[in-house]
Amino acid sequence: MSNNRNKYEKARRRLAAVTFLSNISLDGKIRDTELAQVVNKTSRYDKTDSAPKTVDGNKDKDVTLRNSVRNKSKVPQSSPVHRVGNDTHSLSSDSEHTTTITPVKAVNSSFIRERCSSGTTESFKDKHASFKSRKNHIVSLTGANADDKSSSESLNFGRFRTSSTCIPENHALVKEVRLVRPTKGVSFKDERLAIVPGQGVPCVIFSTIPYSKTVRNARSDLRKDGVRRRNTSGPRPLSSITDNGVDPFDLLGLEKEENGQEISYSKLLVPSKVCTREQYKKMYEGDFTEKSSWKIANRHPHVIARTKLLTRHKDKKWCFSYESSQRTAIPSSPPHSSVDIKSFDWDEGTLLSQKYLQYCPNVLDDPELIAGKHRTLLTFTSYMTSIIDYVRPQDLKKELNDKFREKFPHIKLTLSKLRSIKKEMRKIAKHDSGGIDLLSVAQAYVYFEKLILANLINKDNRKLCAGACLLLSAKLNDVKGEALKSLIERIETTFRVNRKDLMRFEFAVLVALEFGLHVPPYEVFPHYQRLLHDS
Amino acid sequence: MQKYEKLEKIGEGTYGTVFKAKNKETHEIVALKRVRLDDDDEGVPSSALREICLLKELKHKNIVRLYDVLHSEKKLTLVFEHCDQDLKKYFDSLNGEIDLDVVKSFMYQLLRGLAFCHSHNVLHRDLKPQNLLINKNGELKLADFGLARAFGIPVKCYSAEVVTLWYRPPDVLFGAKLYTTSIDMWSAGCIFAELANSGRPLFPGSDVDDQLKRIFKLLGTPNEDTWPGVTQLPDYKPLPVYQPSLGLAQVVPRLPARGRDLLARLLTCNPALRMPADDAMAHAYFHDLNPSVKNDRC
Repeated sequence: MSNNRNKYEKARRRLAAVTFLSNISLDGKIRDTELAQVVNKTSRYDKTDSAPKTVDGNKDKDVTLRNSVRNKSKVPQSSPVHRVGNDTHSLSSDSEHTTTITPVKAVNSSFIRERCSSGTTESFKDKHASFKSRKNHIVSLTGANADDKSSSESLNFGRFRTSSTCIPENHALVKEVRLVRPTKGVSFKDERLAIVPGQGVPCVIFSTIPYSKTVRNARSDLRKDGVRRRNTSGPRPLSSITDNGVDPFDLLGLEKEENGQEISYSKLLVPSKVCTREQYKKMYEGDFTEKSSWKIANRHPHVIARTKLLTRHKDKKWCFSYESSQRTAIPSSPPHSSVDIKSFDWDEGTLLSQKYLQYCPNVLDDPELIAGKHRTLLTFTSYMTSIIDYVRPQDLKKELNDKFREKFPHIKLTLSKLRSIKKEMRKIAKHDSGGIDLLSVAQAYVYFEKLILANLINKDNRKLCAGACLLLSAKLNDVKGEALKSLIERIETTFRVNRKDLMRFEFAVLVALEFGLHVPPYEVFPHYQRLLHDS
Repeated sequence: MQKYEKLEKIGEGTYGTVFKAKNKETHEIVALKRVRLDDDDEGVPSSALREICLLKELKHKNIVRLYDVLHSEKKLTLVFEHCDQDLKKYFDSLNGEIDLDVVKSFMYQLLRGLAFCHSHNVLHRDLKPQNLLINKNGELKLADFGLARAFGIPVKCYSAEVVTLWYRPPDVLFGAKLYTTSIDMWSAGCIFAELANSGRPLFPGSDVDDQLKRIFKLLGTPNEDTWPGVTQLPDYKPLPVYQPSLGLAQVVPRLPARGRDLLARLLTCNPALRMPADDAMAHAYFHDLNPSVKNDRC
C-alpha cells in the first residue's frame, strides 16, 4: 500500500490504480448475464476482529442481513476459508457503507441500475457501484466469466492483485464470495483491519488510507479510468455506444433520478459570481496592477499570429503593462492567464460555481498555439521579423498537441480534436437557408470548453455534448421554429447522433454547466471575434 | 412532487401549467410551473431554459425568485416564489382610482427590478401588467422571463417577435433586430401610464399598424430628423404624418408634471434617446418617494 503511495506522484496510471484500491469506483460497465449462473457457487468471505481496531458486531449483522437469494449457497460455516478470505475492497473503503451481503447474482441485476450513480461527488454511490463491479471481477477470476469485457479491466484487476492480498486464490477454492460492507455508524474509515481465520491468527492486516486528493479529483481520475477501459474495448461507432443506453448523466458524472423520482437542483440556483457591467467597468478603470493581465487576456483576446510574431519579442514586462499592450497586439496570454486568473479575486465565490469561475476564453484553444518552434525571430534595430520554416503538417500537429497535453494533462481531447470539433460546430451553424448566427456558436464554444475544463468530455460523449451545447446556445439566442428544427437535423447528421440522445444530453449538459448558460460577454466575445475574423 | 402539495391551478403559461402549491415541510406557498419534456420534440423549451438560466443569476427583491428546479424523465418543474396577484388583477380589484403614492411606489420598484436585470445583461422583453406580481406587502416583482435574453454582445439577430403588442416599442414594431435595454423602457413607460390611469392601457392597438398609429398620434410620427435611421428599419413603412400632440396632460391627467416628464422620457420613439432604468430611478418624480420603498434594498 505504502509502495503504491510513493508512486502516487509519479504516474497517473498509478494513481488510477491506487484510486481503484481506495475503492472509488470505475463506473462499471459489466452487464454479465452468464455470471448469474455461476454465482450460486461463490466463495464467502468474512471478517473478524483481531487487530488493534476492528469493526465489532459485523458478523451478526452479516448473518441477519444475508440475502435470502443466497440461501441456496453453502452454509457459511462449512467453508474452511470463510474467515480467511476477505473483501479487501470493501474494507479499504474510506467511507461508510451499509452492511449487506449481497449475492453476486443480485449484484448483476442491480448493477446496471446503479451505474448511473457512479461518478457523483457523493462518494457513497460511487463506491457502492465500484464495489459491485469488483465483485464481478472476483467472479470473473473463477474462469466462469466467458463474456469477458475488456483487457484493461483485467489489467486493472491485475494491479489490484499485486498491490493487495490473496483473495483470488482463496476464492478459487471456495466458490462463495462473502462481502463485508461497513454499516451505518460502522465505518472502515481510518481503521486498521485484519482478516483472521477461525484460529484467530491474522493472515492479512491492513489499514485504510483516506484518499488525499479532493473528491472531485478522485472522480476525474476515475472517469479517466473508465474511459480508458471503454476505449480499449475497441473503436465502436458512436451510435452503437449510445444505442447501448449510455446514460448522459453517467457520462457526465452526474446524479440522475431513479425510477421516475424527481431530482431537485435548487443547489445549482446560486448566482454565478460573474461581474455585472458596473463591476466589469470598475475592473478596467480601477487598480490594474494585479488584475492587469487578466484584463489584457480578456480584453484583447484575439490577434492573429502574424502580428504576434512581431511583437512577441518585447520583454516580459510588456505583458503586464496595461497601456502598452492596449495599443499593440496581444501578449501570449495562456501561460500567464492560468496563473493570473487566480489573482483575480472574487470576494464571495461560491463553492459550486468555483470550477467555472476561472474560465478564460483563450486558455484552452489558444489562438497563439498555431506555430511550433520552427521559427526564427530576427531582431533588428528598426524592426523585427520572423522566419517560419516549412514543417510537415503532421509534425506541427503533433507538436501542438504535445504542447497542449503538457498544459492540460488531465484533458482527454487533443488540441486538434478540439479544434476540429469546434470547426464542425461552426459548419453546422452555417447554412444557406437560415443558419444560426455566430454569436450562438461562440456561446456554444464557451459551454463546450467549460465542460472540457471540468473534465467531463471524453471520446464517447464529445459529439453529443458539442451538439447539446450548440442547441442550448441557439435556444437562448432566439433561434426557434423552423430554424431550430433544421439546426437539430444538422446536428444529427453532422455529428451522427440521434435526436433522442441529443435531447437527453441537452439536459445533462445544462446540469453539468450548473444552469450557468447566462455567461458574461467577456467570456463569449473572444470566440465571437475569432469566428468573425475567420469568416 | 412529494415535497409540494398542489392546491389549485393558477393558469396556463406559455409552456406549461402553473399551480399554486404548498411546501409540506415549511408550509410555504409556492408557484409550480410544469413543463413536459418530450424526447422526440425539441428538448427543453427555450422559455423554460431562459427562466432557469436567467433567474438563476437574478436574485433581487423586485424579481420573482426561482427556488428550485425539479427534473424527472418526462417533466420539469420550476418552483417559484408565490405572489398573491399580478398587476392586472390588482387593477381589476381597484374599481376606481389608484393612490398616486402606490403608482410611484410600483413604478419605482419596476424600474429597480429592471435596472437590476439590465445591469446583469438581461432584457426582459415581455413587460406587461400580467407579468408584474404584487404581494400583500405592496412589493412588485418582475416575473415570466420566458422571453428574456442576454444582450451583452450586439448582433442583428435578436427576435423581433417580442413583447406583447400594446407594450412593444416603435423600433421593434418596425422590425428592429438589434435593440437593447430601451425595449423594456418603452414597456415600462406604457405601464407607468396604465398605472396612473388605474389600469386603462395606453396604446391598446389591434395590429402592428394600428399600434404604430396610436403611438404616433400621441407622440408624432418620427422622421429621419427626430430619429435618424428609422427609415432603414426592416419593416419600416411610411405612415400618416401626425404632429406631436404633447397631450400627455390629457392622457394621464392625474399624473403631476414631474411624472409626465418622466413618462415623456420613457415614451420616446427613438430608442437611443429613451431613458435608461437607473436614470429613471434618479428622476425628480421619485424625490418625494416614501423612503421605506426607496431604501428597501434587497
